[in-house]
Order: sequence, then C-alpha cells, then structure tokens
Amino acid sequence: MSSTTDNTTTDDDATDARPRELLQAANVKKHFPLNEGLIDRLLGDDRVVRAVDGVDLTVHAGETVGIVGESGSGKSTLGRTLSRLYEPTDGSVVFDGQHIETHSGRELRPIRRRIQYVFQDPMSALNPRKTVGQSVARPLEVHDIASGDEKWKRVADLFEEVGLGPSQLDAYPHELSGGQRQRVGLCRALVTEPDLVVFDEPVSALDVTLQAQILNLINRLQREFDLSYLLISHNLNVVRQVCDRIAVMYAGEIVERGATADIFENPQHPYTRSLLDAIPQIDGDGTRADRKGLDGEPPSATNPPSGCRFHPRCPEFIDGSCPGQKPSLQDVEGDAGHEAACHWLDRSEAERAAHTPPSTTEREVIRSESADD
Amino acid sequence: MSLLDVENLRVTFPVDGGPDVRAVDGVDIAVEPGEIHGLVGESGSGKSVTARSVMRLLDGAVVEADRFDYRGEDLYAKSEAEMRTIRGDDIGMVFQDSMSALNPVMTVGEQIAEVVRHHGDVDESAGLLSELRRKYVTGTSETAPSWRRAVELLETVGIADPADVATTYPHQLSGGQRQRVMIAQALGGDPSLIIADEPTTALDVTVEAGILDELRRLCDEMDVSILLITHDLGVVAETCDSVTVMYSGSVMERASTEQLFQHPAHPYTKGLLRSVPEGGATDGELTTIPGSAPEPTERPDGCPFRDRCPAAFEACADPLPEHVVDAGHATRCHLYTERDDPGEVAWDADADIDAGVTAVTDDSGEPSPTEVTDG
Amino acid sequence: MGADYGGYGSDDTTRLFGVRLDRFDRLRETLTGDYKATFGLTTVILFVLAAIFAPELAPFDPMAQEYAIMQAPSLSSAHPFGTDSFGRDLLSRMMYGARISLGVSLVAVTIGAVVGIGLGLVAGYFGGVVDDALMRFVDVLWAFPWLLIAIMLVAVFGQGVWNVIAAIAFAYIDDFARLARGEVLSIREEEFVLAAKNIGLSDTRIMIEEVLPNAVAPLIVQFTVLVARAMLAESTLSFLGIGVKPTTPTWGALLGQGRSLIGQAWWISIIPGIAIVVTVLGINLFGDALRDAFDVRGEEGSP
Repeated sequence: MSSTTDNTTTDDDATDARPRELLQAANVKKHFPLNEGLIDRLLGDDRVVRAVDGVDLTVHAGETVGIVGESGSGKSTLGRTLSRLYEPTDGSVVFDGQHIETHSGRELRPIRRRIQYVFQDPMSALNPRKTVGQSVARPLEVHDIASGDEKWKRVADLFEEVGLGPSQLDAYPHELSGGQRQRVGLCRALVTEPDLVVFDEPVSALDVTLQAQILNLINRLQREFDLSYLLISHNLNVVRQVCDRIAVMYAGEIVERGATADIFENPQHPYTRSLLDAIPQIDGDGTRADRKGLDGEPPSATNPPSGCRFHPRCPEFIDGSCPGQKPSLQDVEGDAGHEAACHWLDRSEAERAAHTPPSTTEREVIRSESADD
Repeated sequence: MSLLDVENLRVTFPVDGGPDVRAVDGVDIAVEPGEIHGLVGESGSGKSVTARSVMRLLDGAVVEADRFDYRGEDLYAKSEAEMRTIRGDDIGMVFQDSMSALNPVMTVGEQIAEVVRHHGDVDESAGLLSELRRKYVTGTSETAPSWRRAVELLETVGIADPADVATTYPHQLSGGQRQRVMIAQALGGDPSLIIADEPTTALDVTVEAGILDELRRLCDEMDVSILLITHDLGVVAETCDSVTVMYSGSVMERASTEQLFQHPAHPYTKGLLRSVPEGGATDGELTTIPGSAPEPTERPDGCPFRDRCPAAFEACADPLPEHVVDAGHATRCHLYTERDDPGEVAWDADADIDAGVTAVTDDSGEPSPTEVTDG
Repeated sequence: MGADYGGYGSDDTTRLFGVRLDRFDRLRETLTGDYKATFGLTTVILFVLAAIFAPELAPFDPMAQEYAIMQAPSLSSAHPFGTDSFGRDLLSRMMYGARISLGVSLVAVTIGAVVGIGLGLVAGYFGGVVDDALMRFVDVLWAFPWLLIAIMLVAVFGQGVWNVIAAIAFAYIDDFARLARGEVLSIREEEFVLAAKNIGLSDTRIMIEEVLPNAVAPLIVQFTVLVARAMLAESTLSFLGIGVKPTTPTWGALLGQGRSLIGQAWWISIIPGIAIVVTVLGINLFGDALRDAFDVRGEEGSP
C-alpha cells in the first residue's frame, strides 16, 4: 500500500503538484426528515433538518484535513456522510476515483475497509458486551482478512503498537480508562489497514494530559501507516496541532478553508475570526485576555437564514447584501488555496475596527427591505 | 477571615467487600470573600467530591476534616434543617449539565421564583399547599414579587427579553441560555458563595466566553465568591483570582492565578501547562505526562504523582510536605523541601523524555519510566 | 493454541448472547451465594423435576377415585395433600398438573418472546415507517382481548393444550415487542452500532450481534414475569372451562374446582394456590439472578 505521488492532478486550489486526491466531495448535502413517522408523512410534513447543505471538500493522500465549527454546524454529519455511514441526500462523493455516493450494502464493503471512523466517545462506540479484543478483531473476520491465530496476532501487534498490553485484549470497555479506550478505538480503525481515517472529536472526551498523548499517537500512526486523515473538532488548538488544511463550517456550509497557517494567521471570514477570538489563552502574564464571545445562537437547521447564514450574528454585518445574497467561496489574494465565503473580504483592518454592527432589530429591517427589492 | 476554610479534608467511600476508596486525601481549601477560586484537576482528582462535601451532598461517604468552616462556623456541626437553609440560600450551585439540572416540566421563571420564595425575601407563602397550587394550578402570578425578582435575576445574568424567557421551558432555550438560567437560580437565594461545577464544559467556545464574563462580573459587582471547578486551565487563566491544583485526591499547588501561570512550582502543574495544545508549529510533538492518574486504591505511598513524575526521587515516598514558595503560593513537592535547588523538571527542558515513547506508555498502572533530574 | 501473547485473546471461549461462558461462573456464584437466588433455582428445579417424573413419582393415578372423598391433608395418611371431591389424590394431581401448568406457560411465553422481540427489534432498529407499521400492528394485537381469542380458538378447534398456548402466546407478543423496541431505540443511538456499520456488518448482523445482547437483561426479567402471569392465565382459562380438557389436572383447574368447596375442604384450592405463588416467586428470583449474572458491567465498582 504505497502512496505514489501522482503528479498529473489538476487541483485548482494548488499551485504546486499535490499528491492524488483520495476523497473528493462535491456539493454534498445531508438532510434528515424532521418527522419520520408514517402519519406525519401522510399528513405531508416534509420539513427537513439541513445538517449538511452543499459542501465541497478534497482530501489528498497523506494529508490531514480538519473540519471545525460549533456544535450543530453539521461537521459530524459531514464526516459520517463522507465515510458513508449516512447516505448523502445529494451531491457526489468520489473515493480513490470511484463514485460511492449511491453504493449500498455489498458494494460498500470494500470501501468500509478502506475508510475508517474513530468516534468521540469510545465508551459509547465500543459494544459493552464484547471484550475490546473481540471488537477490534471483528473487522478482520468481516472482511476475510485473517482468522484464528493470525487474526489474534494482528490484533495483539496493533495493541502493542498503540501502547496497550496483551492482557487488555480480554478486558471489557468499562474495565479500561478513557485513554485506553480511545487507543482501542484507534486499533479498531487501523486493523483493516485503511487509507482514510475520519476522527470525530478524538480527544474531547479525554483529560488534557491524555489528549496530548493521543494526539501524538495519532500523528505517529499517520507517519507509520501512511494514512490520510479527516479530523473533526470544535477545538481549534487540536486542529492546529495536527492538520495541514482546515475547513470552517457554519450551519451546514463551509465558510472558509485553507492551509492551517493561513487560517490562523490570516483569517478572512468574520465567523472564523470570532472562533479564533474565542480560544482561551494561557499566556500567563496574569492579565486576563479579553476573549470575545459571539452573541446569539447557531441558526435553525430546519429554516436557515437567508443569504449569508451567519448574517444574524455577524459582528461585521454591512448591508442588505448580507441577508440578500448567498456569498460563494472566493480566493483570498496572496494565499494559495485559501478561500472564504463573504461579500466583504477586501475590507481593511481599520475599516473593520471602525465598524459598528447593527442591532438585531436593525438587521431584521435591513433583511426585509432587501427581500422586498 | 476566609469565607470557606477547609483544612485536611478526607473523604472516604466505604466499598462492600473491598478496600475503602479515599477520594480526597488531606485537602486544604480556602475561598476568600469576593474572589473566584479555581479548583483544577483531571477527572478522578477529587475536585467534584471536594465541592460536594461543602454542600454536604455526599451520600454514604465518610467526611473528616480538621476544620470545615463556612463564615467561621463548622458546617459539619449543623443540623440537616440548618443545612437546607444554607444550601440555596447561602451557597448556590451551578452544574455542568443544565438540561438535567433544570426541571423540564416547569418554566424557568417558576423555577427561579421558587428559590426566591424559599429564601423568604418576598412576602409570599412558600408553604407546601401554596407551592402545590402554583405548580399544578395557577402558576406564579406575573405580578407576584417573586416572579418579578425572577425576571430581574434573568436580566442580571445577561438574558435579553427576560420577561419572555421566564415563561419558557428549559428545552426551548439554548445551552448558553440554560446555563445563565442556572446562574440566575443560584443567585435567587442571594448567596455569598456559588459553587460552579464545570459550568462551561458542555458549551461551545464562542458561548463559553460570555458565561465566564458573566461569572466574573457577578463576582466583581455583586459581592459573591465563586468556587469554580474545572479541568480547563484556559478557563482558570481567564476567570480565577486564585487556584488550587488537585491530583489524585491531594492538593499539588495553591497560588494566585498570576503566580501559577508565571511561576508554576510543582512538576505536575508544569506538565499540565505544557500539555495544553496551544498552536505554534504544526506536526510538533506535544509534551505529555506519561501514563495516567492512579486509581484511588492503587495510589503509591507519599506523593501520588511520583510514578508519572520525571523528577521523582527517593524522598517522594514520604508523606507530602508543604512548601511556601511565595506569599500566597504553596506547593507540596519534596523537590523543594529535600533539595536546596529543585532544578528544572525534565519536560520543561523538553528533551529528556522521548515523547515518542511517552506517548505510548501504558495507562495500565504499571510503573512508567521515570527519570531523576539532578539539581 | 500456539499464540505467544500470554494466552489472551482467542476464539476458544464459547459465548452466549456475546457473554463469555466463564460468566457462568458468575451465575453459579450468584445462585449459590445469594439465598434468594438459591431458593428460586431450587424451587424451579424441584417443580420441573416433579412434573417430568410425575408418572414415576406420583403415589397414585391422578384419575383413580376412592370412596373416602375430601380427606384432609395429613402426613400420616396415604394422601399427604388429602383428596378432592371425587376422592382423587391431590398430591398426584398436583404433580401431573405441573406438567400442563409449567409446560404451557414456558412454551407460550417463549413463542410470545420470539415473535415479540423479533417485531420490536426490527421496528426499533429501522424506525420511521417500518416502526410505525409494525407497532400499529402490535397495538392491534394489544387491543384484541386475549380471552376472546381463547374462546374463539376453543370454539373453532375445540379444547386442547395448543389452543391454550396459542392464546397466551398471542397475548404476550405486544409486551415483548414494546419492551424490545424501547430498548433498541436507545441502544441504536449508541455509537457502537454505527461503528459496526463502519466495519461492514449487515443490518441483520448488527441487530443480532450488537443490539440484541445489550437488550437482553430487561427481556430476561420480562420473560420470568410473564411466565408467572402465563401460569395464572392458564388457571383462568381452566377456571372458565375453556382451558385444556376438563378432566386433565392443571393447577388452575384444581383451584377452580376447589373454589366451590372452600368451606368444606379448603385444601383443594389452597394447595394449588400455594404452588402457583411459590413457583411464580421462584421464577422471578431466578430471573433476577440470571439478569445480574449476565450483566458484564455488574462487577464491583463503577468504571
């Protein structure tokens, strides 16, 4: 399983040759019906929760792409849709040159082997009635990779690789500590030798000293097993630590994406800036950093705001174009592969600083006026 | 005089057919009037047990202390009836999970008004019959003083449209709003101390900032002390005046926030500060503390941290010492009492422990590789 | 097996409901260590043995009549439990009656459990329209009075053991279906179900391998409760005269028969009554022990 660099790719957001695209998503949508029942359907209730609403994303071989956003931004749903735990409502998902968006059952099995998912809460993600050894060994049986002694040898080797002892093969999940359980989760994901691993908040359930251990382990395993990662997190520090590129999600859409350094040093979208401002700082100079929060609440996914979905909370709300038109992702000058979806990308720092955003009621007035036009 | 002054607190949970579990083993806590005191530690460090012992809410646990004074009076000498008055009236509580801590079938205004009436500042009966009438039949009248006070409190904690929000049910509010409602409820009894147990852990960072600001403002403006329990050093840095760092049932270090972040003394504190992923170069290895915290039943003698400490030496098996680093800054580490120069801890030098190895060191309770640094 | 990692992790240990069979050590411990469980198990075993070996053990033919009718129970006489209004030995009739009473209730509840759990599992796992359709069907079953079904079956097919079993099984499908569905609804939200999907297991395999074992504890309890209720139901049917053939001894029939004579001969109704109560109690205690023993998380201390 070697990841030979394919120099013939023509990725438009790259200036130099990049490795081949492992996963490409185009206009992926995932909508959940609000009411699934027979009677609601008969009554014509077809409201949907637009968890993911038109996302383009590419993961190249060997890289780590981060997805960040608040809870309810649709980042976990996106991860699950891309790894085909959910079926996309619309859009295309291409994995290693193969369209997988409409695959089902048997067709998906070879794909399942190559895309693995690591869950946030390892306690919930491991069957409490199976020993962790069984849980890790099961994929080997399902995919006819190994059985009997060979199977257990592989599992034991992998356990050793992530720092677990052979005696823990026969433990039940509740008998292990949180850090150990997450290591088991990593084992289960790696045992089929996948190409892409999707991490859903891999460390947020862990104590801070264990977080660092697991993040280091995740980094080391990527080098050793030649893996590509898609990492979902609300924690910008975690994403910054392990990701090559970052996509920022808000209300089911990507509002900004680019190389990690560009996002952190040159954030363009007001939402990204708000997220960065909200990171707690430990600078230790004794003065409390004045951390800015964000007013308001994430919008309803059933009935998202018009135009730019961030406009009701945006600290840089300008005029009727914000609620009136949906901004599309546009290149940020000077940064390769850096895009943001905002009508007002080219304003200077000084302009921003001088801007006083309108109040909620004023916004409402502007919105209805722009809708009338 | 400290508002809350606890010395040598020991909390033991008896276990049927097993060794007793000592969750808290000799903890000193002092909260001064008008300050936010942080109680930091990983899960299992005993920080929540310590906080609950203040409320006397530990069923089945044996609580012992050399001193357990609240406003100079021994809390554990009080009767259960007196304790009921203190809980809610004198000491308010804010929980992590606002969804389960609020009653789902009562409006939030009703829940706050109930606390206000119970506290007795308003001229309304809080007897069983009148409470039952309010809950099942009429609800609190919107002109009643207790309801007006509830709306006032909601406004105090930064809720826009407090009169409307008071008539909503908890599930209709967002996580941040519910957390504010809980703070308002804790304020309902006009307390002098609020115990906040991981109040922002379940919230998004963007919302967390607002809640922490609110706590800070209440403390500054309303003369309330807050005991803030958290695992997040970022929250401490931003909100607290002073901090107690706990590890596996013991206090490791106590300092003002400034002292702690600028001159951490205990190797554990130093390690904790270094494990926080804080940006900088990507693909760099994070410094880690090898292994994981011991189970209460498997704690080593002496310093509970010594199996994970890179600077551990023979004296660490002795009982924990107390060393005053500076005014208001104390640590419990043998490096300071046994050695003339404590030296630097290995992970501060960022070299001596191979991060690749430590990253995979067991958390199985087996002894981890430790190194002794000479002074 | 020649593995070199300390003997841990192998397929050798057999499993039941996904639980290692050495868990039966725990079952044994529970059953011998806890007097309630010991009592439950002993009772159940004694009654089952008495039923199985009734032809060998019973001192008299349950149909044989004597002239001395309604003899009071006395340990010194030939009829320790006394005789009934036809002078038949009550002990023998009780032993033969156990065959019907225990057999009918166990078989009926097992059938109800298999069908009901199947329905509930599928409904809860797939949710949505499938759930709606299946559960409305279960609602219909529930709304249908089981006594009416019993009467209908007897009217069409005549009296017989299988009609009684069918009527009782029918009545319990909805209990199992609802309980199983409720359990499955919460279990399917656990991420390990998604994780199983992620490793490529089919829906059927996930339901049977991952979901069902986690729902088994309350279902065991439900099973034992319903076995007890089925015994009473069988008694009711016999009492009403639509149970098994009137001459066949069952506990319920004995109870009903003795009712009119309670003034003259209390033992004819009281002794079967006591037998029912003790069995029901025994099965419930046994069920509790079974549930505890199967709970892998039930070990001392929380994680």
